[in-house]
Amino acid sequence: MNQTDLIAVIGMGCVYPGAPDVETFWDNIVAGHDAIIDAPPDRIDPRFFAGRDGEADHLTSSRGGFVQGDALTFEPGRFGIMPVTVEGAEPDQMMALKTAAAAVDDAGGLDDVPHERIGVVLGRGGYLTPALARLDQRVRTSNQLLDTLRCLLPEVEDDRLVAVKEAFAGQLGDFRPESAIGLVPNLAASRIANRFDFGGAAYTVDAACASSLIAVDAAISDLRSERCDVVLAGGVHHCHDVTLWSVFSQLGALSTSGEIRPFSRHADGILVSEGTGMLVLERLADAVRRDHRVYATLCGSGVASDGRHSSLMSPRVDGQVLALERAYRVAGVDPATIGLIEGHGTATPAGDSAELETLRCVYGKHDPVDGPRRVLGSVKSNIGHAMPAAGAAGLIKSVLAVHHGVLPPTLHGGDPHPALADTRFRLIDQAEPWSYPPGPRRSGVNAFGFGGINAHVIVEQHGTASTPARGSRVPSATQVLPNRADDHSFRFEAILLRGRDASDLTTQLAAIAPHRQTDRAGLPTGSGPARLAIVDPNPKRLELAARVLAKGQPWRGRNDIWFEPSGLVTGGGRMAFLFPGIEPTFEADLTDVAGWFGIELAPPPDGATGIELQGRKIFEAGRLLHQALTALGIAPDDMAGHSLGEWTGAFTAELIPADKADDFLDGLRPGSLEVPGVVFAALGCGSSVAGEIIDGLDGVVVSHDNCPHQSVICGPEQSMAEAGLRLAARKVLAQELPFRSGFHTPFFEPYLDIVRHHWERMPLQAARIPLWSATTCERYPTDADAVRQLAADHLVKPVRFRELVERLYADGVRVFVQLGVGSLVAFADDTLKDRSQLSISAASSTRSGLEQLARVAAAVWVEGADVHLERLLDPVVGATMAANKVEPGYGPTVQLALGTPLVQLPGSVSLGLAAGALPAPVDPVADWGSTTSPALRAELDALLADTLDATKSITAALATSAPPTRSVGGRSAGLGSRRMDASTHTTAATEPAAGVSEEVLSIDIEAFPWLIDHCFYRQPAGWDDLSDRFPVLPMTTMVELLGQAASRLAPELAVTRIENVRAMRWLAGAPPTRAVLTARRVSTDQVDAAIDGYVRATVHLAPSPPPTPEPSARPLNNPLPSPVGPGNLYADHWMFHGPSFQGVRSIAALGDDGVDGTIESLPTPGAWLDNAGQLYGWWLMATAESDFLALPQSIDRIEFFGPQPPPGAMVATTVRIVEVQPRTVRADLELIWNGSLCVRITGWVDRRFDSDPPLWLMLRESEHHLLASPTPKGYVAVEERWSDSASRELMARRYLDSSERAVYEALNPREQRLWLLGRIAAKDAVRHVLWSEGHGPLFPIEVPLIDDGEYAVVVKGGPADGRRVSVAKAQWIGIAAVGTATIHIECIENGDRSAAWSRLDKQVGMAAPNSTIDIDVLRSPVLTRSPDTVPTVGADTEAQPAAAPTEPADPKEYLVAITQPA
Amino acid sequence: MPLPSPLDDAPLTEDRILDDVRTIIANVIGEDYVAEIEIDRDTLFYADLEIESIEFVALGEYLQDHYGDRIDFPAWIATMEVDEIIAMTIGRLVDHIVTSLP
Repeated sequence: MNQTDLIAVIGMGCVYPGAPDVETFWDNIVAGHDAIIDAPPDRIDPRFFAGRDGEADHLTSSRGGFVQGDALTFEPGRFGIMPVTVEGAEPDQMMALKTAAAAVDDAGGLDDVPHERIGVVLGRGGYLTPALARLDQRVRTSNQLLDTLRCLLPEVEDDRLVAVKEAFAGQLGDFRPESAIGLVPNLAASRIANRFDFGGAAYTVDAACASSLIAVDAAISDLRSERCDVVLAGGVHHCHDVTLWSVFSQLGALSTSGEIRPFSRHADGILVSEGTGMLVLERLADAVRRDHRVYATLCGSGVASDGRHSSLMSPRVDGQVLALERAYRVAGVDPATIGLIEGHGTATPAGDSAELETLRCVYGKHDPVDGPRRVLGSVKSNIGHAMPAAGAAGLIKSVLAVHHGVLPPTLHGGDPHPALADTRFRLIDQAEPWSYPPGPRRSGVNAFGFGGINAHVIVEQHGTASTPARGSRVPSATQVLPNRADDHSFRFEAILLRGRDASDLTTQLAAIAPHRQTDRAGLPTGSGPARLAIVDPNPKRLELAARVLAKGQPWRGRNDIWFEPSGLVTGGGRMAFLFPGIEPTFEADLTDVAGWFGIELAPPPDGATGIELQGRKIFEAGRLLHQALTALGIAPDDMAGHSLGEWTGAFTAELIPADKADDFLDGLRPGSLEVPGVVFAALGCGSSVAGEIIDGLDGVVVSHDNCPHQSVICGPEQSMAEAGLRLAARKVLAQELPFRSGFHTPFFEPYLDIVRHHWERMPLQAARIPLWSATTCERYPTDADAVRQLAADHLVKPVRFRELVERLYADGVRVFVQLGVGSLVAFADDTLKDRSQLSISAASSTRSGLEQLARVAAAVWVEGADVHLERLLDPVVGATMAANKVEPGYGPTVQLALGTPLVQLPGSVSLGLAAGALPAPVDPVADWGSTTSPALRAELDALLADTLDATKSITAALATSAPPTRSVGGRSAGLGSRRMDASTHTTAATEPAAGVSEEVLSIDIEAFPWLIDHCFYRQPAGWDDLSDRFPVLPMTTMVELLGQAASRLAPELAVTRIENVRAMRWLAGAPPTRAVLTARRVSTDQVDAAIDGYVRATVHLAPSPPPTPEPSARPLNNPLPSPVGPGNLYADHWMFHGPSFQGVRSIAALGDDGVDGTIESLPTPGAWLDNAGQLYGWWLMATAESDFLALPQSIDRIEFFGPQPPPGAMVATTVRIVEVQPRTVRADLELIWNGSLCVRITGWVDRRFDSDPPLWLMLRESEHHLLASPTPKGYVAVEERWSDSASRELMARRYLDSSERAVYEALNPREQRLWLLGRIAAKDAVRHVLWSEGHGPLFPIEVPLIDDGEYAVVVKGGPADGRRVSVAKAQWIGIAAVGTATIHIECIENGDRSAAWSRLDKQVGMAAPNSTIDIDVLRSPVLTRSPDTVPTVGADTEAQPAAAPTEPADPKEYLVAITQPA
Repeated sequence: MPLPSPLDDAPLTEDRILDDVRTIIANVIGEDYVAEIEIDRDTLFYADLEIESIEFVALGEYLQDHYGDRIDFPAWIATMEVDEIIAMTIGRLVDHIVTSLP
C-alpha cells in the first residue's frame, strides 16, 4: 500500500465491559484492569450454573464480561427515537447508535464530509439476541406452556389455561406490532445510516469472531475504490444468551477456572463477553486535506479462509498464515518491523497453539541480534471474548497503543504457553514505552472466526514524531505509564519490615529483596522496634536501603526510603497536622484519594475563580486528606495552620462545626478579599534580616516569619520597590506573591469588621483536637469570645510560623504532616534543622494523591504509629458513594435491557382448582415392576403415601391458587422431610404431616462447630464451661434455617423473601438446647416457619428470583471515616465474633444516617447477613452516646435477588438508619455484589441494651476493667445501670458462672437485682485488690463466690481463693470491701442518686462509731465501727476523726442507714 | 562539616570546587544523606537530592560565606525559569562558580 492508499483512523467509539467509552477502555488496558465478573443474576439466571456437566442447560462457568450500569443508559430523545421503540427493539441497535455517535463526535462531527458518501459496516453475529429471545418466549414458549397445561390438566377449563398463557406473555411487556421492525438484525447498521443520514452502504457482516475485522476490510475496500469517503466500521455484540453460553459449555470451551488467560500455559478456555466498538476510517490524503485528527493509519488488511480443512475446534494454521501474508503483501511492510501483535488469543489451548504456530511461521523465531522480543497480547484477558465485536476491541487497542507509543500489558500470562518461546514475541504484565523496533510503530491485529475465517489488519503510526497527534485528549505515554491519578490504577508497592535492629532488618531485606522488587506491598512482617519502609522498591532503592541499614542511622524519605531504629512516635513523639494557607499554585489532584476512600469531593462553588478557587481547593484538600488519613488510622495530637490554613484546621478540629464550614467560606469568600495597592514579597531570609532590610521604609512590615530562610514582607507598592533594591544589594532572593489581601498586616484593619461579623454568626465549640494559633503560638482559647478575638487578630498580626514550629517541638511534636501542597514541610525542616523530626506532605504536585498518601503512611508507620496499611491495598469505597452524577441530557433515559430473564407468573394467576381436584400423581411404582426389591418397594409405598397426603394437604390449603406444578411440589414436600430426617444433627420428632415439616434441632457445638465463634462472652483462655461463654445462634442463622426448611417443603421454588422475622429468645448451644423447627406451607408460595419459642418468620418462594432492582440507598449524610477499622472491630472486641463470623472487610464511611462498607461472603451459615448486621451494630457503637450495644430483634422483610455470593466474594453493604428510639434502632440494608443488588433488608430492628461507657468497656474488655468504682476509702461500690431485665441479664452472664447463675435464676426478680449487685461489687472488690497487688488480667468469672452469712461472701477457688468480702446492697447499689468488716446498708433514698451516694460515702468514711448522723434528710442513721477490725479498708482509718472514744456496739459491723424522706 | 578555607594554598580547581559543593550540600541536607548518595557533576538538585526552594536559600548562604561576594547566588537563580532550576545539576553550579571566580 503506498502512502496515498493508507487509511486513516480519525475517530473511535466503544462500549466494553468496565469501559463506557474509549478513554476508559484504554485506561483500563494500560492499568491492567480485569473486567471479568460473575454473571449478574438479572443477565443469566443462577440456576443455569447449578446443574451437572453434560446437560444442555448447564453452563460450566459463571464468569464473563458484562456491560453494566451507566453504559446501558440510552437517551432516545437524542437520536429521535420514541422510548417505546427502544423497549421493543434489539438493544444492540441502540448500543451501536450510541457508539457511532461517540465515534462521529470523536472524529470532529464529520460535517465537512458529504454524508451521502459515508458508509457503515458492522460485524454482528446471528445469535439469539435479547429482543429475539423475548419474542421467542412470547410466540413459542407461551404456546408450549399452554399445550403442557392442557396435557396435564385435561379437566381444567381451557379458558383458564389460556389465561395462564396470556399472563405469561403479559409478563414480557406490551406487544406492539410496530416495534417488530426493531428485531431485524441488520438494523444495527441501518439505524446509524438513518439517524446520521449517511448515503453509503450500511450493512452488517457475520464472520463469527472475525466479523469486526472483516467489516474493517470491507470498509477499506469501499474507501480505496472510492465508493465511500468515510466508513464507520467495527462490531457489535450484546447477546449473553444462555443458548450461546450453552454452546460453549458443551464444547468445553468455557474457562472453568473463571479466568481468561490468553497465551498462558494455564489457558483453559474463553469467557464470554460483549461490547460494541467502531472506528471512523477515511483515506489518509482526505483526512490530511480536511485537517482531521489521525490516530494512526491502517496500512494493510488480509483475509483468508481455511478451505476444506476448517474444523470448529482445531483452527488451521495455513489459513491464518495466508491471511497474515496477504496483509503484509498489501501493506508492503516487512513483518519484522512489527512491534506489537494483538492476538486473537482466545485462551483455548488449541486456539492459542495454532495462533502461536502462525506467529512463528510469519514472524520467525526470536533472534537477539534483532533487538528485544516484540510484544504479544490480547485484550480478551481484560474483557473476555466479545465474539463479533472482539476484533474491534483489539483494533482500537492497537490503534491507541501505536498512537501513544505504549505497549499495553496482558493479564494472567505469568506462565506463558511453552510455544511462545519459539516465536519472536513475549507477553508483558506492565505497560512499557514502545521503543523497538526503530522506525514507525506498527501493530498487527488478528481475528480468527469459527468455521475457518481469518483476518489480519496492520496499524501504522501516523507521522514520525512520537508525540501524540494534534488534538489528542488522551494523556501522553509518559504520563500514562507511572502513577496515573485515575482511580484504580494505584498499587501500593512497598517493602515494610520490622525487626530487632538494623542488622535484623538487613537479614530480612536480603532474604526477600530478589523476589520483591516489583511485588505489590505485603503488610508489615517481623516484630521489633526497628522499622524499614521502601516505597516503589527498585534495585537502586534496595541497594541504598541496604547501605542505610548498614549505617544504622534514621533515614527519612530521601529516595522513598524510611528507616528508624526505634521511631519518633514509639519514643512518645506527638504528631501534628499542618494545614497550608493559600499558595500561588495548587496542582495536587486528589480525586483518586476521594475515590479510594469513598469520600465525596465537593465541587468548588459556582463562579469561583483565581485565588478564591484556589482557596476553596486548599480547604477541600485539607478536609479530604484529614478524612483519608483518619481512615488510615493516622490521627494527629495537635493541629496548626499557616495563615488561612488555620481556618481549615478550625473546621477539621471542629472548632467550627463541620456542617458550618461551607457557610463560613461562602459568606467570607476569603479569596475575594483584596486591599488595593498592597504588595507581598517572599524573601529568602529570616525575619530579623527582613526587619533590618525594611527598616525605615514607609509602611512595610514583616507579615510572615516562616522559617530561618524565609519571611514575607508586605507594604505599599512604592515602598516595596525600594525594598526590592535593598534586597538585591543584600543578595537576598525575593519574589512578589500574587495576593493583595493585606492579611496579617495592619493594612487589613479596615476590613476586619466584615470578618468579625462573620465569626460572630458562627456557632463555636471546643476543638476536638488541640488547635494552635500562629498568632499567639499557643493553643486556641476555649472561650468563644476569645476565639473570635483571636480570629480577628490573626488577620492583622504577623504569622509566627517559625516560632510555632519551635513551640510545637518543645511541646513534644516530632512528626509534622502537611495536609495539602505548600511549603510547610520545608519550613519545619528548615526551622528544626538537625533535630530529630519527620516532616512530610500528604499531597504532592508531582505524584498522584494515593502515591503520596502511601508515602505518608509508610513514613509514619516507620516512626512507630499504628497505620492501617492494609487499606492501601484495596479501595475502601462505598458502593453508593459515586452515584450522584448528573450530566446534561436529552430528556428521559432508558436502561437498555440486555438480559432475557425467565418469565415469572404474577401471583394473581389462578386455575381456580378446588380442593381434591388435582389428579393423583402417576404411580411410579407400577412402572418399576419386578425389578424393584421388596424393601425398596415398601419405601416407595411409604413415600407415595406421604406424597398423596402432602398433595391433598397443600391443595386444601390453597384458597385461591394452585399452578400446574403443584403435584410435583407435593411429592417433593414429602421427600424434603425425609431428607431432612436423615441429616446428622436433626431427628424427627413426629412423622411429618403433609405440607408441614417438623424437626427437632439439637443446638450444640458438635452440630454447629462454628458456634464457638459466636459466643457473647470472652472468658479466660481454656475456660472449660462453654455455657459461660454463651454460644448462641445468630438471628440470621436462624432465619437461614427457616428458609431452608421452607425450601425443603417447596424444592422446586427458590426463597425470594422472608418477612416478619421475630426473634424471641436466645437459642444457646451450651448447654445443648433442643428446639422444634416447624414449617407449614400455607399457600403455593408461602411457608410459615418457626423455631418454636425462639424465632418465627414467613418465607415466600417463587420459581426464580425476582428482577433485580437498582440499589436505592441514598448517599450518606455527612460521611466520615470510621474511627475504628474492620480489623480492630474484632481485635479490640467491639464485636464478639470469632473467625468464622468475622466478615466485615471495610468500613468506607460512617454518616449521620448510616454506614457503608464491604463484607466478605463467608461460608458459615447466616454469617454474611450477620456481618451486615455487625456493620449496622457498629454504626450505633460509633455514633451513640450511650446504649451502644444492640442486637437483632426483628426484620420486616428480607428480599433475595439471587443466591448468596460465593465464599470470598466482597459484598458492598449499605446500612441506612430509619429510626433511632431509646430502646430500638431500625434500618434498611442493601447488599450489593458486582454492582447488582443481591439482598435488600427492610425494617431491621435492633434492640438496644443499657450500656453507658464504663459498662460498655466492661462488657468488651472485662478482664481489664471494673464495673464497680473503687473509692479512696478502700471499698468499691456499683450502681445499677440497667433498667430492664434483658440488659440485666447481659450483665449477669458477664459476672456469674454457671453455678452462680443457677442460684440467681432461682430468685425472684427483686432478689435477683440485689443479689447481682452484691456479686458484682464483691467480685470487683476482689479483682481491684488483686490488681493492686500486681495480679494480671482477671475475668469476673475467675472469682467464684459462696455466701458467708448475710453480709459476706468467700472466694472459693481461683487466684483469690479464701478471701472474705464484706458485701452490702440496697435498692440500686452494691458495696463491697475485701476484709472482715461488715457493711450494712439499710435503705437508700430514691430520687437523685448522686446526692444520696455522696451522703452515703461521707458516712462510711467520716462518721464516728456509735454517733448519730443527721445529714439533711437522714433521720436515724447509725454507723458503728471499730477501726482495728477493718484493716483492708485502710483509707478509712486515716480519715477517721481522732477522738472517738465510744464503745462499739458490734466491733465487726459497719452499719449505714439512710432513710427516705418522709 | 567544616569547609576547607579558601585561603589555604590549594588552587581553586574545578575538582576542588566540586568537593566544596559536596560539603556544602552535606551541610544543607544532612551528612547522612550525602554519605549514601553519590554526588557528581550530573547529580540533579531536585530529582536526585530532593533539595527544595528553602534549602536553595541555605545553599546560597553557604556559597556566599565560603566564596564571598564574588558569588551572587540569588541573582543567578533569579535569572532562571522554574524548569531550569528543576533541571539544574551540580555541574552547572560548579561551572557557575568557576566562571564567577577570578
